[in-house]
Amino acid sequence: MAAAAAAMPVSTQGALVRRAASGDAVAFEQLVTVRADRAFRIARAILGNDPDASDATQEAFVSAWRELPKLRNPDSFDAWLRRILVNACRAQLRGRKRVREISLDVSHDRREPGPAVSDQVGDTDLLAHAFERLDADKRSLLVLHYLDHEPVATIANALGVPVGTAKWRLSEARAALQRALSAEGEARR
Amino acid sequence: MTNPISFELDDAQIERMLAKRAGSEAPIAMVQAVMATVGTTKQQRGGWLPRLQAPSASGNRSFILVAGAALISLSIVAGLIGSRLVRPPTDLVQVPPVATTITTPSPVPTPSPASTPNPTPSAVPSPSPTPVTVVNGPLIVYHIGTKGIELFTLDPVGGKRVTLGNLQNRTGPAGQSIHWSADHRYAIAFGSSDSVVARIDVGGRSVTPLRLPANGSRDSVSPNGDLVARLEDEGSRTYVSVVDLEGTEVHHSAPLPEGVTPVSAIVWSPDASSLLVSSCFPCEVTPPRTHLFQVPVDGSPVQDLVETTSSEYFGSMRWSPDRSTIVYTNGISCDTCSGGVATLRVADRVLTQLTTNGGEEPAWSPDGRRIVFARGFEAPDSGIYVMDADGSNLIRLTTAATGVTDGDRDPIWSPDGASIVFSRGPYDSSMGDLYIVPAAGGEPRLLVKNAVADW
Repeated sequence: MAAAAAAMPVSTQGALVRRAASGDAVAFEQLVTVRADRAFRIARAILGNDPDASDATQEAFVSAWRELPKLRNPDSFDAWLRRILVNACRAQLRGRKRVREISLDVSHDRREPGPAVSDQVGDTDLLAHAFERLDADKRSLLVLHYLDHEPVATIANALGVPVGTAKWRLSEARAALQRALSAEGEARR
Repeated sequence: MTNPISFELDDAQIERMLAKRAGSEAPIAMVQAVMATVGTTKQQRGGWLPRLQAPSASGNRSFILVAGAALISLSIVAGLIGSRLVRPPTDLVQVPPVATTITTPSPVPTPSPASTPNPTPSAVPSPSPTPVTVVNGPLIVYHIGTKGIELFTLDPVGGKRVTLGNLQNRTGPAGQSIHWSADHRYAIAFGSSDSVVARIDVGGRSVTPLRLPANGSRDSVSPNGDLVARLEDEGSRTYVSVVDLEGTEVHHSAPLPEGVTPVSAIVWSPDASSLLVSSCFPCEVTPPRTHLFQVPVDGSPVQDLVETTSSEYFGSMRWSPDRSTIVYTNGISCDTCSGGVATLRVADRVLTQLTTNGGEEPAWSPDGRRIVFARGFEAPDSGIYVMDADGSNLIRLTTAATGVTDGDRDPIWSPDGASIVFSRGPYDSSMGDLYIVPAAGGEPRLLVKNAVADW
């Protein structure tokens, strides 16, 4: 979201945020328009389909509008919006059938490295199915890190957790994806 | 049991998959739909309120509203709560050097949720200090070197190392750690997915790899180092499973309430009778309500210890040496949050915010009188800090090294309370370099590169 809004000077963004916070819907529309694509992409990567991503993104923007008067620092609008978006995606996922993360009977830690994914399947299909096995929090972490290329401190901000916690949870999410990938591969053998 | 095939995962593969999954752009009608809704949606006025809200001691849903990141103690909603305070950030002051003779408070019993399903506040017995002289033992160190993972004890003063063994080399971006058992006879090593991987018999100088399956939950080792607690799902409910080091389940807790999704590591009580689990519940409301559950290992009903109506976060929880108080971090560094180090006095459920501008990984000094913590990465005030247990007398021990990606973290006390060991390194790596610094202030000294430790 920050990257999408980068063309707009911070001072202009701040002014727009202040105007929107005071009830100016036109100003808010400008904020939404330049951020819609990036927000939607994050939501779609987490949720995996257009309808859910669209619902979560809309919900996030409407929540942002409602809560905007409470935002203390207009320059942090993007980080704040990202956090709302991730929460909307989590809520969307929790509304679906509970996602059960795959559990394996052998620790990945003790396995020797195996063949590369590309050697096995040649595309991202297997990995995408593995990603579907992860819960909302792990998906969000991986999307913010690997799609949005956010540093851990920013991810911690978006998830509302301390930096150290975000760091180990990111590690945990990657390890869970690794396990899910192995399980997907097993299932297709 | 058959070994599943292992697929090696690389970062570029994840990036490509997510880019494909993300699609290209938002539907044109989406912005129009948002603005149509905005046109009929009122904004919430009334200004910002800080988020620490403490439930009343009687367990009803009356809360204090902590007003202001301000520098003064706060007014309290009359009559509901009593004398709960949130402290302002304290100025940095110098404290006198710490003696190596400390007083050790007598432990008070951990509240038993099984016996007090509806606890009422009660006074915590005053500890009766007994002066003892503490002799520091060695550090237990988990080091990634040229020979893979090396485990050894280290005398931080004389530099003597005693090699205990090695583990099979394997990679992982983060998560490695090591912990002494309470009697310092054993240590438990954790792997990159936060699962226990080995038990180290220090006296016998042997390392036993463990065969516990990783389950995606962060393992928590009991104070004696002989049991492991982990979160498991049973249908749509989550419970705590306690297994021995062979993986055999020895305790199965009652399930957490339907819909609870634990968000922080589980933490053993000092007497190993229960575990703390933090969770938003319900999570779908904004802001989510957060609960701290006390989960008895014997299957007794789960106790809802604390509920907040804010996005309070119980991270890095640690019991005080006298077992009366839990220190934790809600140190979220975002615009609408102002957390840091906080405490929960268990007997009467009083929450006290000790720092309001960040603070992570808090740890009690051995005498329970002070708390060390790390303050975030990429911040001008990043570093290791020590303060009194009430949040006063804050001193900054270290200034985080260089650049915006380095930080100091994972502070641990020496048994005599005179020194602190911490890790310094990039925040996207779990394994920095170990340093030691006097708790009273001084120049940090490098102990071991690329290692984690416990003392």
